[in-house]
Amino acid sequence: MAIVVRLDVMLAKRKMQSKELAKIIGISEQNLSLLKSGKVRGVRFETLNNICVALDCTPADLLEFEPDA
Amino acid sequence: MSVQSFKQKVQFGAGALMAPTAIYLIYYIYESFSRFISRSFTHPEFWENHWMIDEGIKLSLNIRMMYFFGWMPTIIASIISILFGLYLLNRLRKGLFFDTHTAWVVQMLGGMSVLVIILDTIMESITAVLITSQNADGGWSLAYQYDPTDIKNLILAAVIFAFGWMMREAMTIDQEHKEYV
Repeated sequence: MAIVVRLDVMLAKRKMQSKELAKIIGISEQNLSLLKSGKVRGVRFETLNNICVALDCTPADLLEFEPDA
Repeated sequence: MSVQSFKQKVQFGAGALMAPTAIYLIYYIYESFSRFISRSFTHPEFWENHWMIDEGIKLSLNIRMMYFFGWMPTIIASIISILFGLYLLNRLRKGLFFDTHTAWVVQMLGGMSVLVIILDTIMESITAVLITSQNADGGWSLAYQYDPTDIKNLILAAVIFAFGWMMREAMTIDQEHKEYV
């Protein structure tokens, strides 16, 4: 997959735990863990918006494009 | 009625229907094979009194074999459709209602029923041509034998097929939806 999720980096920068973020944005910890590991087929704009608000960042800070080798 | 109670009733109903369906399957296999074997090989004199066949004519072995093997796909398709019915009841008994595989079984049940009705209609027409081929005036020409019951059954089977297809698509969309966070 060429899209890499950098949510764990942003969480570390903001010194926030996954559990806390999951509670703020209203999704389960399990789903947040899947999102962090990139094991989901897609992310809703609503979820992305909530994460950006909670972490005070932009989608570009969370998602990165790395072309497959 | 609570969801749990409804689920239990469906499971019980499906389980209770499995026994008569299995008995019917055994009866169907026995009855259809014994009928076709008897008419084709062991008791060919059956045809001597048939209203379509001229008096005194004995159907040749070739025609009886064509009759037997011509009907086999219809019989086998019928057996497969009953097996799909049994398999579906078993899945419902286990409580596997909203599952893509269950929806696929519903679709196959409808599809096989459509196939059986089409094959049956074709073979009815072909049988008339086959068994009259030795008549003095020549055999009957191939003609569609209209039966309103078959048309009704065909529509019902097509509806079951479409319903299974719709269920499967809906479940696939639901599954895809669940994969989005």
